[in-house]
Formats: sequence, C-alpha cells, structure tokens
Amino acid sequence: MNFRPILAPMPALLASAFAAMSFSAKATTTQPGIEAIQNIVVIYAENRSFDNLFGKFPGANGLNSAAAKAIKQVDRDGSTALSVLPPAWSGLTAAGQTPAVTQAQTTNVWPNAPFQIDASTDLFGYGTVPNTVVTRDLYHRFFENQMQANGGKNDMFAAWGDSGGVVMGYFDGSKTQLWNIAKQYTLADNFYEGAWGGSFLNHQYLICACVPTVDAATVGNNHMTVAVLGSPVNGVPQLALSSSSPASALSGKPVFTLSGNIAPVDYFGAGDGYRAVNTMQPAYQPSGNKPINNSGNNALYAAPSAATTLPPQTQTTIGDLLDGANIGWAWYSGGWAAASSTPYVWNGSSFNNSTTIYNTNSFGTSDASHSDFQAHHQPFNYFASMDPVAHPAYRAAHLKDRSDLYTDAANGTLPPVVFYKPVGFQNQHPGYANVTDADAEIVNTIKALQQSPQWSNMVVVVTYDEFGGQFDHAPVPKGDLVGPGTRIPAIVISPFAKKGFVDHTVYDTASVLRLITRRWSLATLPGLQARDAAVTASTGKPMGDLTNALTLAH
Amino acid sequence: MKSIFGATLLAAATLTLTPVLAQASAYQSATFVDEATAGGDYFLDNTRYLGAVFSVTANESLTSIGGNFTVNGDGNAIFGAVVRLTSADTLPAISDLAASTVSEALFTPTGGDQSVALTGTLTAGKYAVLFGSGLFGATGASGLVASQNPVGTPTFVQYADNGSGVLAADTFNFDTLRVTMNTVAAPVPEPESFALAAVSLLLLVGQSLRTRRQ
Repeated sequence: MNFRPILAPMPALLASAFAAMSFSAKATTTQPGIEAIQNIVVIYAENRSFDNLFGKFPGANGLNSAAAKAIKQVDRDGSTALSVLPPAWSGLTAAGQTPAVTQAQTTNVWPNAPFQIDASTDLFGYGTVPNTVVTRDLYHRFFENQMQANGGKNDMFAAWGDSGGVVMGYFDGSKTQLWNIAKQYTLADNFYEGAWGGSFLNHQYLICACVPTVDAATVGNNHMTVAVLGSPVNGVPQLALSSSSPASALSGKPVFTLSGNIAPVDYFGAGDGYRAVNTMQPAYQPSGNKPINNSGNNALYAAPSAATTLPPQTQTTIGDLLDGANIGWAWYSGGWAAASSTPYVWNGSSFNNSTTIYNTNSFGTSDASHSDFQAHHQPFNYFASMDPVAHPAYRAAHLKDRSDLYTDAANGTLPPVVFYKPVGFQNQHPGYANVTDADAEIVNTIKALQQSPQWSNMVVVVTYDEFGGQFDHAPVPKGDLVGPGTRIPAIVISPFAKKGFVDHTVYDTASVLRLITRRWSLATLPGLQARDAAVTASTGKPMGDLTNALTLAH
Repeated sequence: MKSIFGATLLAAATLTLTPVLAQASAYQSATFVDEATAGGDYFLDNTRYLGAVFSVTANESLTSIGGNFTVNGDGNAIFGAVVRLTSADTLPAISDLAASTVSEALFTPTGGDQSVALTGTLTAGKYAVLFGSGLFGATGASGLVASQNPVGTPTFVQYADNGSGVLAADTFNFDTLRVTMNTVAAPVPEPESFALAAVSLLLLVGQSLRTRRQ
C-alpha cells in the first residue's frame, strides 16, 4: 500500500491528468450563519464515560486504539501492574437484579483490560448480563476521579474506585438506538466532563461554569464534611488514606480518612474559602433533605442546618445572562411536577419519607413505578433566584416538567435555550438505572424534537454529566483546578449537524455554554474564561464551542 | 517499390527508437490535510460507504486507489472499489453495486494517506471510488478525514443507512474528502509489434501498387 505520487512528473501528463478530471458541477449555496440556530436543546444523561458506551464507534478514538490497549491498571503503589482486575466488590449487578453476579463470581476472572459487560456469550463463567440489567454504582467523586485518571495515564481506575474491576467494564453501544442516532449526525469523541467527579458538581458547572461556595461559618455550624488531603503525587491531589486501607487494590476497596463534600479551605485559591465538590442538596424543595418543620413557608425549604444542605447560590448562571439578553430558557426535568408539588407529606407531627424524591424501590433501584427523581440533578434549584417564596413566578417560568417539554415541542413553543434532565429511571446512572430505559427516553425525546415545528432551526446536544466512575483511555487535557475531567459522550443532532461525522475537537461540558454564548452574543462567564486560559496554556487552543460539528458558516 | 520499402524500414526504425509511454493519470478530489488539523473524520463501515466521482476520457488501466484515512480504524480490513456509474451518472442501486464494480481490494487503514493496488480497465465514463465494509469480505471500520483542500469542484457520494436498515445511494455534500485514483493508459501494442504491423501494412500497399501496375 505504497502511496503513489499524485502528480506525474511530465507537464504533458499533468495536463492529461487534470483534463481527465471532469467533475460534476454542483450548485453552490451560501451557508447560513450561526444566527440560523433558534433553539439549543441540551439532553443531559448520567454517568457514562465515552469508552463505556462508544468505545467501539467507527472512526472514533476508542478502545481499539493502540493507546487504549497499552493501558494496564496498576496497584495503589502507582507502579505495579495488577495481575488481574479486582473482583466487583459487592457484586457486578445492583441489588435485586436478575441475573445476580456476585463478588465471588467475579474474583480472578477479569484480565487487566477493558471487558464487555453485555457480551452475548458467557466470557467469564458467570453467565451473560444484558444491558437491561442495572449494574452496580461506582465511585464518581471529585478527588477520587483525579486519582483514578492519574495525570493522564488513566491507570488507577481500579485502584481508587470502590467497585473493583467494574470500572473497566463497557457496553456494546451498537445495541442502543442512540448509537444509530450518532451515526446519522455528529459524535464528539474528544468531549470531557466539565468538572472532575460527580453529578452535583457537573450539573452546577453546566449552568455556571463554577463551583458552589459555602461560607466558613455554615461549614462549621452545619458540620459539613471537608475532604482530608495528603500530599499530591506527580501533581495529582490525593485523598489521605486511612491506616485501615488495604495496600493492594486486589485486597479491597480503598479507605480514605475523609472524602467529604467540601474541598479543603482555599483549595481553589488563596482566600477563596470553601467550595462544595461532592453531592449537596438544594436549599429549596424538592430536596433530598426534608423541611425542618411545617411552620409558615418552611415546607418549601430544606432544613437549612442539615450538613448536606447547600446555602442558596448567587454566582452568575447562563440563565442570568440569557435573562439579561431577553432570551427565553427553561430547565425541564422528568419527575419535576410531582417532586416539586409534593416533596414531603406532613403527617401532623413530622414529614413522611418522600414518595417523589429519590423514590426507589426496596432494592434502592428505579423501575417503571419508582422513577427515582434526583434532587441534585436540578442545578437551578440551588440558586437564590429560584427562592420559592421570593421568586415563585420566575421559578415557575423556568423550572418545568418533562410533560411541558413534549407539549412545548409539539406546539413549537420551546424557548431558545432548553435543558432536559430525564428522571432517574431514564437517566442511565449505574446503581439504579440500566442502559436501555434511558436509551429509549432519549431517542423518544429526540424524535419529539424532530417532529417539532421548531426542528429546522434546532441544535440538540445529547451528553452525559460525568464519567460515572468508569474507565476512559483518553488523556484529559490539563485545565484548571475544577477540570476538565474524564471523557464523556456527546452527540450533536441537528439539521445543521455534519452527518456521520466524528468530531475530534476538544470540548468540555461548558462547550454547550460557549455555543449559547456565541449564538446570542452573551458575556462570557468567568469560569469559561478561566478554563479557556488554562487549556490554551497547556494545549495551545481554547475549548471548542461545538460549531465544528455544524455546517453553518463560521 | 524499393523506395517505398526503404521508407517503410525507416519508419519502423523510428518507431522502435521512440518508445510509447504508459501515460499515468492521477485523480484526486482534494489535497492532503492532516487529521489533527482537520479535526474529525467521517466514519465508514458496513452501514456507510464513502467516495468520490472521477471521469476518464480514454481507456485507462487502474493501478491504485486511496485516500486520507483516520487513525481511528478498528484494525480490520475495509474494501476499496471502483464502481462504474449508471448511464444517468448516478451510483448504482446497492443491489447492483457488486455487479457494477470494476475492481475491488481489501486493506486495513491505519491513518493518513494510504492507497491500495487495483487492476482493471476503465473505459471512458464516470466512476466512483468507494470505501466501506460489509462487502467483498471486509469487516472493518474506519473513516475518511474531514476538511481536506478541494481540487476543483469534487463530487462526493455515499451509500448510507437512513434508518431503514438498507443502504441507499446519496450525495455527500457538506465536506471535502481526500480520495485518489491512479491509472495508466490502457495497454497498447509494443513498439516492435507496432513497427512490424506498419511494415506489413506498407508491404501490402506496395504489393497492391505493383499488382495494379502489372
């Protein structure tokens, strides 16, 4: 397969060659500009790394690459390659699932490499696990994620996770409907979670490119948990290890001194104070924390003194910027109407456990009758601008239910900027949701949007909030102290999208904000400026704004 | 006759001393742009074939086809093929693709500019150079790099699954791909045999003249 010189050396042959090129004339059209976009819709699913779902996508940087195959998970000493992957601590499958794959069945069966969870044949002696089965949850936390990525080596996912070898499991994405959608439009294979770690922080980052703040007095008075760090290793922050932590990943999950919800004081800069990096609850209902009592308007709030209640936030969000430009927007969520109207029921002396918030079945997973609404997936509900007493009309105008999304799409009344959060049952989060229920919901939503009168001027971005604890081989571009973190899937679906395109442009979660910002000429959020400055310093380029996935004139 | 025969010998000597060149033709839809600069690729597998249309104006023999392929192939072979377009200058129906194929070969792209040797004769007309999988024994996946620098106004084509599960011919008109085809002029008589033929012809003419004179 030696490549021949394209141009023969003799002038006569040159002329002959070009004379023979009789291309068909094509009509040339002027491409519309970015102003042709009238609606940007973000569908925000849960907890999948790129390799976990799209590692075998044709033309994409995935698990077939030499770089991916070269990665071997190492032990907690940072250098010893594991002889096998650790077992799935507490089993591969979530409680109550059939088939159940136990820890014992996964002991010494997985070679030190990615393995397919939903293989159609029994590869490891425990049977087959279809993608309709809910697999176990995995650590996906701010500092653990950085320790797992290990400065770009991506070789300590097994060492610092709590799920053993499950971190290296992946699914055959070609079994999903979303895979086929990706083939018809653009799949971004260089798109990273905006922040290291979990859903709470990445939802915040999606709307403000920021990390929530907490004043020192509240941290102390509410006994919030503050992470305890040891010394960084090769520039990677490290949680301090408990003396009871097993030395080897093959012996058990790690035990940290304290992996708290709050980063150590001034972690993000001298004088910066405290910021929340792992899951906290909104101060307004629906919240994972019950109201303190039923007095006055208290039922509309979460207990303010709870250790996991985040005080109302005031940093600028994309919603604020859109308001300032008089551009409409809304956050739609599955389960919102029920959870916000009936978060907790007062029984005369106390509040009952919620039947609409984190409403799982007896196994702690979701199903068709237990939708498992996630309060920490509602980022705007953490902001003072959404105070249910001070700003009820504003709140109602912007925080809506899934049913409103479908109605607005059908009626052609979607606002210019839309976020859609599927309910727990349909968000694909390991531990309580499977792959297929979310796949069906996402694709149904895309179809509803395609049937909308607004479709012809719409850009839909389907992405995931974070990696979910799962391995991805792509080295993360060096950014700021917040992120970017592990690579996640993102699909751009639009009449303007390039068809069958695999976009290698470097993006992160806030690239969605960059697109919105560019389209409506908004001010640039400080977090975007900081991220672009950091990434430019390390890679020479700022994060993309998704326009490379579109055929619009740049 | 003698003079005529002498001229014939001179002509034969001239032909023998001036070899006929096997003229090479090189077709390209675009010049090379590195994938890292281009920023993406268009996948191809058993659900999508990609290629470009070329025209030839005289008989030519294929030597190779190629393109700028992504580094993100799956390590398995894809096919490259030259397909004759229909009389309407369109891709044949997918059911007629194999029958319309002039030549095909399997190869495994690993990234960058790569070509694969082909044989076969092209008569004047329009052809598509296609890459894909699921045919001719190919099982792999790859992609053609996006945003190449067009040469002229290239025409790109594809077979794609539009969701029905069946591939259908379609245009591909939102980006520029680098696809190449190399040929040489179709086989011509060797100089010696051409000279002998000329001598024979002249002898026949001379014989005819002599016969007429007689």
